[in-house]
Amino acid sequence: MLLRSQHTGSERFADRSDVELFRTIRESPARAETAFRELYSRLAGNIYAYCRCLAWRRDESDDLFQETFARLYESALQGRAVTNVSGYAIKIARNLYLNMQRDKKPTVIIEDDTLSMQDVPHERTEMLELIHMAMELLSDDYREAFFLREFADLPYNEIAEIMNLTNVNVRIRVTRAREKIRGILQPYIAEYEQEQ
Amino acid sequence: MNTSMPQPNDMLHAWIDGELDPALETQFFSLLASDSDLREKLRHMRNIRIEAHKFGATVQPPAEISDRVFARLGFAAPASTAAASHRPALLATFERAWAPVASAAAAAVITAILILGLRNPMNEAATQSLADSRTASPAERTETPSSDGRATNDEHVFTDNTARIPSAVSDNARLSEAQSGPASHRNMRTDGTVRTSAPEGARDNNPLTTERNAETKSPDRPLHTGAIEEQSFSDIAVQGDDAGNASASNATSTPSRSGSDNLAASYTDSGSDGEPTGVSSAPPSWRNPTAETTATAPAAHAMRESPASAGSAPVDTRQYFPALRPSDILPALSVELRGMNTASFPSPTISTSSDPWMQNMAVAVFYTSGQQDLGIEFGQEPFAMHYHGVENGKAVRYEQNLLTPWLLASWRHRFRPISVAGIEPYLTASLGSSLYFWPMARTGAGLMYMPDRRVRFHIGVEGSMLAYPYQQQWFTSRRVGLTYGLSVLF
Repeated sequence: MLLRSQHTGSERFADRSDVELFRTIRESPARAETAFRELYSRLAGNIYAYCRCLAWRRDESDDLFQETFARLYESALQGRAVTNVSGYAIKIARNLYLNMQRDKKPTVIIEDDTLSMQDVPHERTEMLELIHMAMELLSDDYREAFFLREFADLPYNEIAEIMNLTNVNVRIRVTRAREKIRGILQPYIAEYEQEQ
Repeated sequence: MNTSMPQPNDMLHAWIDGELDPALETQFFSLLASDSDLREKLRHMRNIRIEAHKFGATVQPPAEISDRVFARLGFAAPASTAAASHRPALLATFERAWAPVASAAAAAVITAILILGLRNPMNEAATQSLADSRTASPAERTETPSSDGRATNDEHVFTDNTARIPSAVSDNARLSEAQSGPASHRNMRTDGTVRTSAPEGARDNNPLTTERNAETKSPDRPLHTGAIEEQSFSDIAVQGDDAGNASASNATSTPSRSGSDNLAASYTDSGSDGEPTGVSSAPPSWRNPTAETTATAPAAHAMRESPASAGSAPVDTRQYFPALRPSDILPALSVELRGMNTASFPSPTISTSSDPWMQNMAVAVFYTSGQQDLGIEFGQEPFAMHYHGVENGKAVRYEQNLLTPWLLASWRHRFRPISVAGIEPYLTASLGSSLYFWPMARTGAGLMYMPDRRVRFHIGVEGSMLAYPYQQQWFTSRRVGLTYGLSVLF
């Protein structure tokens, strides 16, 4: 008991599921912040990467990321019933992005923003940069499906739910995206494998 | 056609997803075994998936983004997130800043080496000859009777084949001292150079120097007194011949009275233009304009070489740059190189398209008059630009991070040195334009440190603003941050 009392709030929530944490935010205002922090620590990486995948531009993806978690917290406070918090957060980000695109003024970027890989250890940036470069050549739909499957490691049915597509359609998109990326990266991958 | 039989490609993707029907695994592996292209494809796709999955599992948002999220919800910044992401942020800052910091450190080290390297020969020269005379062992010293029969220690044979002027020479020099003041001792080496050293009196009367010599100097060590005292031995020999009949070999190997007289005369007697020959044979431009009298007057020369005086006064290194002939303007000019570590406002969302070595750097030439410096400065740095307008009836917004070369006229006021280590505060203001003819202004303040009369280090803060037009509207970009640099005075 003594040991347990020494645990931080975050550690006490560590063994709870995402859905339980999500519910705690509404049901226990005193522990809402701690529960949200735990949820944030679990989801932030994936959501951040997804926002970067969608928006590409740093300022846009950062705004998207902040807004996503603000909306997630608001939804929790409102007592929304959610069965898959991670998928729900991704869906919030996606809808926000689509709204952003709809409301966005036409913008011409003079200099392309080459994707910054500062968040990734240096030794792994080369291959990842190649993958990201190849992803830039994909259409938005293929890129998103590829990201959710390969980066976020979501099952096809969740991706289908997030993207409002059928399971078969998602599979087709992921398969084609893989083939395209493999085709683009084929010479580099051979080199990479030799180095490995 | 069997529609239930999946294609190899479908089986491959299903296997990558971990969803391949176990009943099809045998068939799939037999296909793999027979098809090298399929094997290669599988390997490539697995590698892509592994890399992507690793990235997705480890990526974390930057600390400042997390802080913003929590601040927006009214929470304090998460300690764990901050702790986890501060280190990468520090590393990222280091990665961005290491180049300018390293260049500043390198400039400081080079300057320190230059200053110390140029300052020491003058001190060592004065102390070296004293050390030689004090510490030379009997085996290394050959005492030769002088013309009046007294044994002197003015002639030494050094193990590095360096010979000193015979006593007769010193006698003659003493005669010269009587005529023109105390001549400094001059040492002659068989490698064709002649050295001068501090006068006997000056050396003997300086306990500080004596103590230092006793501790550190060795007679075996070749003498080194700096460029200004060096003179070609062949030149001297010619002068000796002109004056009489001595040759260089006579002067060193057979210290005959006449030869040494002639040789000594070549050191101390005035030449045809009335200047002492030993010193005046050096090019006039070698002589320090501010120390002209010390170079020609033996007494003053000796005083300049005195260890006590040389140790306390900063050396005027202009004498080592004979090409820079003294003029009224040149000593007032300085060249400055500085780096800038500044942040842009608005913050850049994209990187610059080019990455030349000269960016965030400036080079300037300043004219100094009293406490005021006026100059022209050229530099190159990226300015983040966000601007908007209407094109073809549509609102457009542009963003760029343009590497902008600029040219500014600069004014700088240096305040009187504060008591701590002679550090001078300064204020500076500049006005000019980019090379695209966009107006630009800069202001700053900082501190200067002058370890040598030819070198200044400075560090400060500055802010600059660039105005640029688009569709008859003016937009601005600002940069604020740290600057550091090095000035070298002529």
